[in-house]
Amino acid sequence: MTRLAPADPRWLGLAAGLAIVATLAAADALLDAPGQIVIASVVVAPFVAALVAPPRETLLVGAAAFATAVASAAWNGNAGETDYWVRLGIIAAGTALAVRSARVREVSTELRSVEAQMTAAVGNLAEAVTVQDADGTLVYANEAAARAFGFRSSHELLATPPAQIVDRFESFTDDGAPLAVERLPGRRVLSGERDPEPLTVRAIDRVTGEERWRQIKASSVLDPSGRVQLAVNIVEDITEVKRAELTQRLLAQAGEVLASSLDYERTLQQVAELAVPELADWCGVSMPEANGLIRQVAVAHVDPAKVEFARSFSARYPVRSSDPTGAPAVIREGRSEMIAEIPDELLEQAGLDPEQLELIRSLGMRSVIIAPMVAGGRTIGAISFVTSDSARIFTNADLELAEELGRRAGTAVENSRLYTERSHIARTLQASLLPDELPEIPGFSLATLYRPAGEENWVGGDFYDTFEVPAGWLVVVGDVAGRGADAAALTALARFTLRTGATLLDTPLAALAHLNAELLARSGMALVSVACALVTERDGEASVTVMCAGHPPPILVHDGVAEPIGRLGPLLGAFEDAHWDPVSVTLTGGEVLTLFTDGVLDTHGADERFGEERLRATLAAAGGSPREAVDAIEAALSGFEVGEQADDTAVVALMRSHVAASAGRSGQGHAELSDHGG
Amino acid sequence: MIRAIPSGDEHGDSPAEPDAPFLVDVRRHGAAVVVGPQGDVDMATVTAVRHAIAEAGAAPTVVLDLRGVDFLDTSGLQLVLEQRRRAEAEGFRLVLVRGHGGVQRLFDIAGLTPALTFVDDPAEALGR
Repeated sequence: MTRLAPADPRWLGLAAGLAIVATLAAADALLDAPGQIVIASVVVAPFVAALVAPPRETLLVGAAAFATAVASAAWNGNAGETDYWVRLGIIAAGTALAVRSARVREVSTELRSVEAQMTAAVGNLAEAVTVQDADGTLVYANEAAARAFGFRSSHELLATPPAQIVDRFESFTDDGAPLAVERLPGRRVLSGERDPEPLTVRAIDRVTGEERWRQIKASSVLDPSGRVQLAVNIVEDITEVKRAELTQRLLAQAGEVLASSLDYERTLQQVAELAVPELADWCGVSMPEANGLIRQVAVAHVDPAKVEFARSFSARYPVRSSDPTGAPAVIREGRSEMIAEIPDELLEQAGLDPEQLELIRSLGMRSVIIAPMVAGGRTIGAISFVTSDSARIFTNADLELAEELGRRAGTAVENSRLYTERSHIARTLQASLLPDELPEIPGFSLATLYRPAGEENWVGGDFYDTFEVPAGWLVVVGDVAGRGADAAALTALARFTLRTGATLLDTPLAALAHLNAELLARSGMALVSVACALVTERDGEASVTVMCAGHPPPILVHDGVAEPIGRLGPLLGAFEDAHWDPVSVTLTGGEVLTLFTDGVLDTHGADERFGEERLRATLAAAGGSPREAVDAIEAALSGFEVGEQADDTAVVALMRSHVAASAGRSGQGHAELSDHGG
Repeated sequence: MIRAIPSGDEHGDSPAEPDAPFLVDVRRHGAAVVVGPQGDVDMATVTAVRHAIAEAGAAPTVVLDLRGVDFLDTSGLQLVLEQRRRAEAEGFRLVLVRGHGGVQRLFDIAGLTPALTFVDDPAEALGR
């Protein structure tokens, strides 16, 4: 037995018992009628105990003591003289019973005190705790549970039928599926499962529209036979954690999606899809158009039929930039708008036609946020979030998230617009570096090929040109080192310097020298390689004169034989004392001359580069026209190339188409070419 | 000093073939610096060669060893011409060790071969 504390009720029982024994002993010693006193004492003892023990136990003690007294009296009567010690033993038994009674009372008090403490502790837990009995009835709920389920007190919660409690919430599991009650851990415990997995539930209060995330755990209380007697549910509110997680995930995913492509309409659609259903039931993006309308560029809902509905609705009821409310207002003012609960009057006042109003009402919109899409301080659109089916009401935290999504989407759209604009500039610039269409050279036919490398935003450094010069016609193919804006500027300089130079300076060689000097005069290193073919026709005799400035020599194909024409001279922009030696060939008819840039030779194959030999073989095997020569190169490169095209490629092929015709072009010919050749 | 440069390309037009990582081998031999790019010298890698030469510092003789070069494009030629200008301006000797046929062909096409000093072995450049 444990040690007794001074205030322990057992002391009282013991003291009472001892008092009785002492009284009895004294009476026995002093009086001559011991039997009566013993009986009286035995009857009195339980009542003394009753002073300190609870009624029920006292009655038991009383009954036992009374029976003992009767037996004692009977024994007394039969024996006449009663042995003092035997009577004392009987009294001690009565005392022990009294003490025992006190002990029962003490344990029961202790138990009740533990129960009270437990109830108080559970009652004050932040976690909601409920207890169900074997048939699922709620038998206990703490105050946190009452609050969690939207009741004022646990009494109110316990008094509400379970179905009504369930119906109060729109509940979903973690994966967004509606919650099936048999998945609840309490149910699973009651159906005999030992240790069901905790369940995460997203519950939206249909009355308040508040969203809560809960993690529900359950354990069982078994009866002595091992049957499940109770299910104890612990419901932890993890709303803050889940919201933070959702916010981070949504922003991270949106960031990823927005950075993944420059097709902003597609990425905006993906962002809208990310937001449903966890943030909103609907998500849409609208952007103003030049025609004064606001176009819905993206719309998402978990139900494709509803997406279709939204599309046809917006097609049928276009929104104008000047409309006073909604997305147009947000776009105009650059400030977000949140209507936590959309009152019906708001819809009525929106000036919709009756059918439109009916359609909107049919959506059952509950809460809305429209956030501006901001880029560089400018609002370029609006992103809207609407709840309906989920009955959720937006909070300030939702508004903040929506605004952040708006900012990120805005930046992504702006980047993509800038990029699109840049590629447009690049394409325009690139187009300007090539002649719109090559002019016809009388008596000659031409064909060209131009393949800019890589993404369209890179302005290539290759160019070709054809123009009339005093001696005849000049065909130029050139290449500028590098790519991008600098290369484009250099390309323009090279092309137009050659053009004006060759037109004004009488000879192509003078034009090359002029461009060389221009390039050397520039601050940085500016290198240009050029192959020129001067085509002349005099007295019915056609000839071509080739000059190579740091450029691969053109290839002449005649009767299926391909050979390079031209003497190699230095790059333009490399040396001040540069000179170039022209090489002339008489065209008897049927020859195809192909000028090309090193993009052709440098084209990557599986193991090596295309190279001069392959090009010669390709041209030798090609048909007898410039078009066929160019097509053969294109086909050969496409078949050979592995991976992305690394370099620009420009090709011009020409051929004397007929012998007669405009024979009258200036009579100077290639005699002049040597003027500058030195 | 061996500098490893990823063969990837900041402009996204990386070569089609799976190239080995681009390296520039830089050594000092007495009064000379020998710079040996390994791989393709093109728009993607030429900056690395330029940096390697700059980091090697001034020397009376700079040898550009082209034996490890698989491919050279106009940016590579531009680098050689830049060094030639520098050599003239700063008064050091620029010597090139001949690369394989394709590389030499490019110098020929560009019309630069007569204006540059080529040797077959770096020792020739160092011995003189």
